[in-house]
Amino acid sequence: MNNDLKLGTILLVFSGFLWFYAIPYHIKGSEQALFPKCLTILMIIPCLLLLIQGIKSYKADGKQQAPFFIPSASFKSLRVVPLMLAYIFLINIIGYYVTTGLFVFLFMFFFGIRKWLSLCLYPIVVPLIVYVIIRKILSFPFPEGILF
Amino acid sequence: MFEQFLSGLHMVLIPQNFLWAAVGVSCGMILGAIPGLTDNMGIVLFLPFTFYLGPIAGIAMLMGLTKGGNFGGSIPAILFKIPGTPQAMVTSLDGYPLTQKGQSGKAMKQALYSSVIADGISDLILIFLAAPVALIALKIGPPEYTSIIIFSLFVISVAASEYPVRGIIATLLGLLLGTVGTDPEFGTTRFVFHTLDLADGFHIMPMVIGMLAFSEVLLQLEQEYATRLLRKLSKEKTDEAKIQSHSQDHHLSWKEFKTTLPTIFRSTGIGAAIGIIPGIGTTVGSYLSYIMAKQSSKNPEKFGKGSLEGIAAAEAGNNAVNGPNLIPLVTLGIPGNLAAALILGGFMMKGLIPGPTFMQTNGDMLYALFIILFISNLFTMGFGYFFIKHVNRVTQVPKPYLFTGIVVFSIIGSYVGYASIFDVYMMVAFGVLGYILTKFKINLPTVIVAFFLGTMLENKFRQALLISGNDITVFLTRPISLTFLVFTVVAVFFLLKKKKSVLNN
Repeated sequence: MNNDLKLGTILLVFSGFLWFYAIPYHIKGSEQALFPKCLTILMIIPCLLLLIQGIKSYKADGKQQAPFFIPSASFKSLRVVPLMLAYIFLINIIGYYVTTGLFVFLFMFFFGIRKWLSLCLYPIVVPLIVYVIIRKILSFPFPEGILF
Repeated sequence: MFEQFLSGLHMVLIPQNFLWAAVGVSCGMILGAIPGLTDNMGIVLFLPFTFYLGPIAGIAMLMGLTKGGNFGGSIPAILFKIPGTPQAMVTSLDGYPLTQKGQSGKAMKQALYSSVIADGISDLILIFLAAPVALIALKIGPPEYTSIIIFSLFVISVAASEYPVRGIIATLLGLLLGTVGTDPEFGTTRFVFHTLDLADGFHIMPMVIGMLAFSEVLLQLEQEYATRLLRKLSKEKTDEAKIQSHSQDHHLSWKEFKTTLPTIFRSTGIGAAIGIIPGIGTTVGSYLSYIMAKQSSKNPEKFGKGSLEGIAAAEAGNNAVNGPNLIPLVTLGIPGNLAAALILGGFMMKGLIPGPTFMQTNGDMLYALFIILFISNLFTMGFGYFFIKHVNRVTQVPKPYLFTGIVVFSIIGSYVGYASIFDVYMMVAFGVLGYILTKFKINLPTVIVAFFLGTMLENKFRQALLISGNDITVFLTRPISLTFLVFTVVAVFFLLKKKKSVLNN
């Protein structure tokens, strides 16, 4: 399945989701729903064009396009996302500065840094810089949580 | 007019006025360079201080904050692909690739010179054309707004992306994202999925930072892992990733700059035309200028890969909006954007009420302000050059440390706008969305600009129907509206024809 077919299919499913679920159940009123409905109908046109384009190039080439990502590298990079989500979740509980220090340590370790001096110094320096600029100079408070 | 101009010149020549204009420009540059803070926040923070200053010094400081902030936002956009202000997003498209090549200094200098020239010309437009331009602004109502936005969206869809179908998809996605939140007329919620935080819709900074900066971190991480995997397979030693550059890589020669001058002037014209229309904003001015520059360039394939023309177009289009944006404010008392609305507050604190008679009753003061605005560009040049020299060293930091800093500042930038942790979650979500859309070759700035224009389009469309009694032909019977609709059809026809001939070749 080539990229045009993949994208066309995904967007067609998304348009169906909007038309049959999101708009009827999450928008009250016909006038309020008019603009989203028009956009959903308009979205179907490029979807169909992509599907036609995808079928044509599949028939013409007779083979799949090169994959648009290297799976192992892609999945490795996306591992950062759960780390980020955990970091954001813990900000309100533990406190921004301590959580940031922990996150910086883990992120650098995850990125392949193994110099212990850097791994110890950076998690202290980064929150300190943020504290000085944002908290002290601009007086903008961050959540301080249980610790700091 | 000439007597008022001379009187204004006499009022300006006090050291205090220059001092506070310089303070405004320098502080604006610093605040603009910190993602999420923006020049608007700078105006809000400094507005109370203007109470203690004279009228010209106070207003000059506020306007200096806007000027400084406009350029300041480009610095992180070029260095890290995190726009400091939403309008700097377009500068990152070519600025960041140049940083990746070790030429960040060149990119920032190009941005600085383009900003200053465009800002200077737009100030001259403000000085000499304020009165006649105000008359045009008066004739623009909801039908004209709708047609102008439709024109902008069509041009962006077709011209910005290599694949027009994907460009249309990007525009529609952006418009759909703009429908999330509260209906502007009835006040009922749309697509909030029982999440109260979404009642206000998505906020622009988390979207911009997520889609551009965080998605870039994910893409760079993927590239890093892919490189390590390939090196492992070929059994080569993995080197620490570092941007290598020499001092001459940061130098912008006169020859290089000269080639961008036509782009700067063209983009200044486009930005100024956008600036006359209240509410359209610097982001649209910047992106439209960029697209037009790409269409007109002898080397369009270089756009998005580190083209100086691209940076020139983005910055000139962005800064050229400022001067004309003040025309509706000073001549009609209608602020064209948030910054102008805040500056209106500054005027009122001084007992000055901008409006149709302002030019007659306080013409000399108005010209004094215009003159100090023009002179403030020299401060932008001076402070900007100083900043560039020092911040450039950041590019020598190895990638792992740099990306860690980028991620931390992405979170700060997303949080500070509304002090909302939800916005930070949204930044991550938009980052993942941006990563996926990039894989499918969907242009991200198009999505963002369409999001930005979507709410305005719906509002103005509904207003137009309301005032015309649901008569759809109102868009065809009003001359300016009809003109823009015709421009839309003609522009799309020629752009598609050009794309087809490029593909055939």
